[in-house]
Amino acid sequence: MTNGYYIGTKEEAENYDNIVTQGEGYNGTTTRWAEPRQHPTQLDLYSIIRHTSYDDTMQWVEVLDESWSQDTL
Amino acid sequence: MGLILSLDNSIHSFNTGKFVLDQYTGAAAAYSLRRLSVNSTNVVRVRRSVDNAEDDFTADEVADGTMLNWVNADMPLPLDTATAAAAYSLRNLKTSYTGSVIRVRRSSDNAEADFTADEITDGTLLAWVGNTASDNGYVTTWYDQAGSNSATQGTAANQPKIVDAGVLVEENGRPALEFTTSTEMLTSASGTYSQPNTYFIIAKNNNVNSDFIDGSILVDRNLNDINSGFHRMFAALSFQSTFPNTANQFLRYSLFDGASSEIAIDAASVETGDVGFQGLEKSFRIGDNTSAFLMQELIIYNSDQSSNRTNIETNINDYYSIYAQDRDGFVTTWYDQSGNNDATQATAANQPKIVDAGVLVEENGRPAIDFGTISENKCLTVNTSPITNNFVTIVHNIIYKSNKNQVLLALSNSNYIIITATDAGKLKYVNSNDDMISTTNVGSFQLSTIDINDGKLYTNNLEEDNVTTASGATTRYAIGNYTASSGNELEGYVSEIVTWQTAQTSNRVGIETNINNHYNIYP
Repeated sequence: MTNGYYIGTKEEAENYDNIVTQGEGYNGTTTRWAEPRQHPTQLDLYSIIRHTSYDDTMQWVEVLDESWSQDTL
Repeated sequence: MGLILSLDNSIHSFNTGKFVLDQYTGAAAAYSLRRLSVNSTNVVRVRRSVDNAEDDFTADEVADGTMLNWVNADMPLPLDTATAAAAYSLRNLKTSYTGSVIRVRRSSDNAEADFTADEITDGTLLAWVGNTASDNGYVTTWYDQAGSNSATQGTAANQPKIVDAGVLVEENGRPALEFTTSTEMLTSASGTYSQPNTYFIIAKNNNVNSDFIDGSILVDRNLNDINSGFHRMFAALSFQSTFPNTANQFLRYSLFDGASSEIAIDAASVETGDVGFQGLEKSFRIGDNTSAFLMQELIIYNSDQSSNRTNIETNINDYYSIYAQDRDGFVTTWYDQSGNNDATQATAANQPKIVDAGVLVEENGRPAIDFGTISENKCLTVNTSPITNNFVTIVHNIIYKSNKNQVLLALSNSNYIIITATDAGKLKYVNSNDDMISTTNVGSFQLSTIDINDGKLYTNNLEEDNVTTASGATTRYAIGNYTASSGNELEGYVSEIVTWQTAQTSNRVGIETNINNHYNIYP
């Protein structure tokens, strides 16, 4: 299974990041696993990159569709 | 005169300043995996995936394999990592262990003999047992490599096999003990290993139910089992994972720590829960009359080894090859060789790679940084004090995406080097005055030179656009995206980026020649 992404609420995504970050024990320049990413239009939706060693009950998708990409330019 | 050997093995002089930043001064930021200045020290900081350790590396250490060896480093043996309560294997589990790992009874005459790990794999055991269809070898003792709690079985009919019909029992190319519903091994030490206890079990299950290890008198139990096809643990309470047993060899990690207990299979956590309070009776049992499995290793720590879990799992997997485990090296910092504008990425998932699956990332035979695919959003950023760039060189190989504006290098809110979705793969320098665009498509290893002061854009030393006025203000360097959170991700490789505050129009050919001499980009 590839990494893919979990999709859930902001709290769920942040909790997942906390679980992975604590589990991995990063030290040095690295401070966290991944930053939850808010959907540009569905503002209550957040995605976070899945870590292959940590499963979660959030919805998993292999790739985020283009609606998640917010071109800043 | 001082001499220094550079990455490309050419001799450079301290005094004549043959490194590009020494010869052409005035750089604002300089990122590379080669040495750009006599004053350069570390060029990159790397996090290795195997244990998330980080370290700094010089250009020489990137080129000579030091960094790669560090990323691919072997993890210490499990008993060198931490002191175990009991440890059984058919390999040595610590560097100082030289004793026998099993005692075997052969079927031909019921003689018994001890065997080391080497004697199991070099043919000594098989030669002693015999290699005909009527020759079997049975394990009477599985020696404890951590102490004196060896597992034994004195009843011949209940001894697991190590040689079956003249053939060494193996799983995935490594020796194994074959337990059936009529075999088990017991220890006899008194007392209890109270929680927390950590178990590493390498086995292949052959039954719908199997008890790999449990307290033998059923008072103090740390049951590690398969229950109705699912991995389970029990110590007065129990929880069962939803991870099904498969017909495959597995590495199981079980942490018995009350309400904070956990099962992981093949390095992936599959269940957490409350396992209860019981410890493990030291007179424990491996296998029983409901079980059938091959077992290759069982290590018991009378402690919480979650902090060492990755190291231990990696050592085990390196030996048994149970699951795919890439050795990756990620760039946490690309050091600015001209000053303090180091480009960093603190979020692990967004760090670009320098080692991919154990192999150094290279472009045209030179180390490079892999920014992955656009969906991975790999990028490095640094905020800077406002300065003006006059000259930029970038060595890159970017993959064009028809649905994505990809930022190669952002200098400010209005200055960036981009491959736009609508320009069919051309590289564009966007600024608050006149934009410049290449005629050569990206998608090959190339050198882009943006002479902002002179209003010209070059690809591989050839002029491809010129404008009347261009500007180059910088308030940040963002490599691989516009900002870390915007949707302008990059796909491809970057080998080097240098920006100069000072005009370098008259030095352009010299700078490009220096770059091309190292990277061999164009004839």
